[in-house]
Amino acid sequence: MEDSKIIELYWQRDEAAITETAQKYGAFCHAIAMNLLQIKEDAEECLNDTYHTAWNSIPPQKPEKFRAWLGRVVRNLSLALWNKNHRQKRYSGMTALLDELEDCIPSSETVEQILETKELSAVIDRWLMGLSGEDRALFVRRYWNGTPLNELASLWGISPNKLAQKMFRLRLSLRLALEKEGITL
Amino acid sequence: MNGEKILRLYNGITGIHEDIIEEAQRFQPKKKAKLWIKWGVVAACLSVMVGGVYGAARLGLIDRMGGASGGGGGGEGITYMSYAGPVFPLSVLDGGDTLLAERNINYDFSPYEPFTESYAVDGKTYNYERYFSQSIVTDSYVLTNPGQEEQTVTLLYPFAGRLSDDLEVLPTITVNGEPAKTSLHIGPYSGGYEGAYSVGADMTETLNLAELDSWEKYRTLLNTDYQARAFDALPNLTQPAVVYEISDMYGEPSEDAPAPTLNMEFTIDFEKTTILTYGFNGVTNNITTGYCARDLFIPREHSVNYGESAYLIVLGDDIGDYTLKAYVNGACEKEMEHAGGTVTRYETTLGEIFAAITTEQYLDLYASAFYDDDTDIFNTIPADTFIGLAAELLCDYGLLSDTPAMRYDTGMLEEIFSETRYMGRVMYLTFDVTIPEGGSIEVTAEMVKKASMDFIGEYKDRNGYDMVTRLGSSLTYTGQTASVSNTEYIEILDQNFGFDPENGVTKVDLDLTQEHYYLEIWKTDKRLEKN
Repeated sequence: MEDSKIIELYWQRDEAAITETAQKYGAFCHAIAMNLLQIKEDAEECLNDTYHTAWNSIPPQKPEKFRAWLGRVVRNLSLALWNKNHRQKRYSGMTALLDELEDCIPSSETVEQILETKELSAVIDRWLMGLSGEDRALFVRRYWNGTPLNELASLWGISPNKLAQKMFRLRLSLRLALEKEGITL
Repeated sequence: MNGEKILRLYNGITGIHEDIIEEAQRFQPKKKAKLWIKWGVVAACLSVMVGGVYGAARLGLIDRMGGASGGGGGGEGITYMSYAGPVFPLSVLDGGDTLLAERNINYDFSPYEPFTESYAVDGKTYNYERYFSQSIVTDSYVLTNPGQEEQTVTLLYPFAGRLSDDLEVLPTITVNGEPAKTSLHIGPYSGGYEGAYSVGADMTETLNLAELDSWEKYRTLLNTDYQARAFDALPNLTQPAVVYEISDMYGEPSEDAPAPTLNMEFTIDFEKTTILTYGFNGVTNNITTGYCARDLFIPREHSVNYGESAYLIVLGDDIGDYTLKAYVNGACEKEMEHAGGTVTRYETTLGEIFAAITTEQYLDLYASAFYDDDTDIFNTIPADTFIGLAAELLCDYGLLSDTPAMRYDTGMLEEIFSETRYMGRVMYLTFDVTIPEGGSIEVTAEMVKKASMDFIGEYKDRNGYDMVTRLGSSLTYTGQTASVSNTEYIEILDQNFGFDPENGVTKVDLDLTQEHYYLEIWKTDKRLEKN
């Protein structure tokens, strides 16, 4: 079913909207949750919460890119679970991802402005658009989808070691871009 | 730990533009959907283009590259997800029929010995242990000239690899203990192409790379003219081309225009015109009406390609009238004011513009932006060689081929350049030696051999190593042995060599009628971080 039809079902308060969402994007959302949380039960809880969020948010919202919208919800809910439970549970996917993102934190010596999240996303957008399509996809698949490095290496047909080097350079490049714009976090 | 800052960055990444998210989801390996397609216009037309123009010819491509069946990359049962290829035997380029060769190959597993590294975060130092999943291979030969006359021959040492491999993968050749002066000859892509989905795939599809995953497929490959092609001249691309260079692009993003985009629209006859691009992000082709569009995000300051031109290269009949319009985002639906670019049309040859783009843009950007400290094979070869190899791929499987792979049907040269760098090949080192009458010389090739491995699943902790005894060699072998050293950090899981290090059997005679030997190991303490 086309996304617009699914959104229409939400607006009609037709519960088939959830079924159609699960059928079309369940695997996608589950993959992100599993990538980040790595605990099956928590990933499933996150997935169920994603459907509830969709049900409660649409309407009034009318997502234009439904898959990306759902992915964002999964990421937000995964982060909330991590915040809540990470002292008791080992969410290894999220932990690894956050560890890697530390490389992107700009030096405090360049502090000029602290951006709102939306503005920060726009800066990251501009940086991403300056990358080759391949590098852009790699960054997004690793740090938005949370896809593990080994899996990405397999998909891209390069060694995990090589990919790790490449990802490190991408992270440094983002840090430099943020520093050049005088941004701190 | 910058906990709060990292979470802010995480949230910033969560909010990146939907178009970028969508693009990434469609990128490899499901290459078909990688394009910035204008779905409303072209979605229905794409399958017609793919099926109608290229479909029939691709069957031959798959048949040719399909290779042998049975047997795994490193062993008899496992086909590794990442197959490093076997170690090949030394060969001789011309003549040398009377030379006799003895060989010993040694796998040194000392890279599996753990070592400690440390890193500092916020003034605190953390230590961790790691090791390398690779072996140091020393492939040694004694060549004897039983004749009555001195012989000078060119020897040939093949190895499987990629231009993106670390330099340590490139064998170091010594002759009688002295470094030999070698020449590197790079074969074309060694694999084939396949559909985007492995299960139920349409076997005529050529969307994804199908790299060689077994030694038998290397045998099939080397039984063709593959080696000869590694020594052939690379294509010159002399055909005339009309270039539309888009320069001086301007347009600032804003809330209403989050991703300023330029879109060039024109009409062609697909039978008479071929379009290649560099610097464009999107492709729209309507095979029925001839309508085409190519779009690009206007490069932002601090972007790698900021200030660089984009190129639309026309082969065959020119495109005639065109429009170049600016839009608020990649959907190219809502036009944008105060954004645009300058179009300059000129005539040249494909070879000239191809070389100019490669050296002034691709190599320049990739050498300076992210890869300046790389020590891979790519960074050691001359620009002309890289240009030639990229041109070879364009002619073999790109839009200049009679049977182009669907993978390259966008005509985006970035894809050709990138693939040229990362795709698997067999490369050959050649060097001249003189062997006195009745005398012998010692030749040694030493290299790091990466393990074949699975990234996930049942065999993910296994590392495979394998070799072939005579494949592709025209030397007459009188004996071969194999040995292992520094085995204390590994455990052998499966093999057909006959090693038993625990009981002192670290060197074995090889049966020359056996074409292939394999060894599967794992690290004895797999808790360490693998590299």
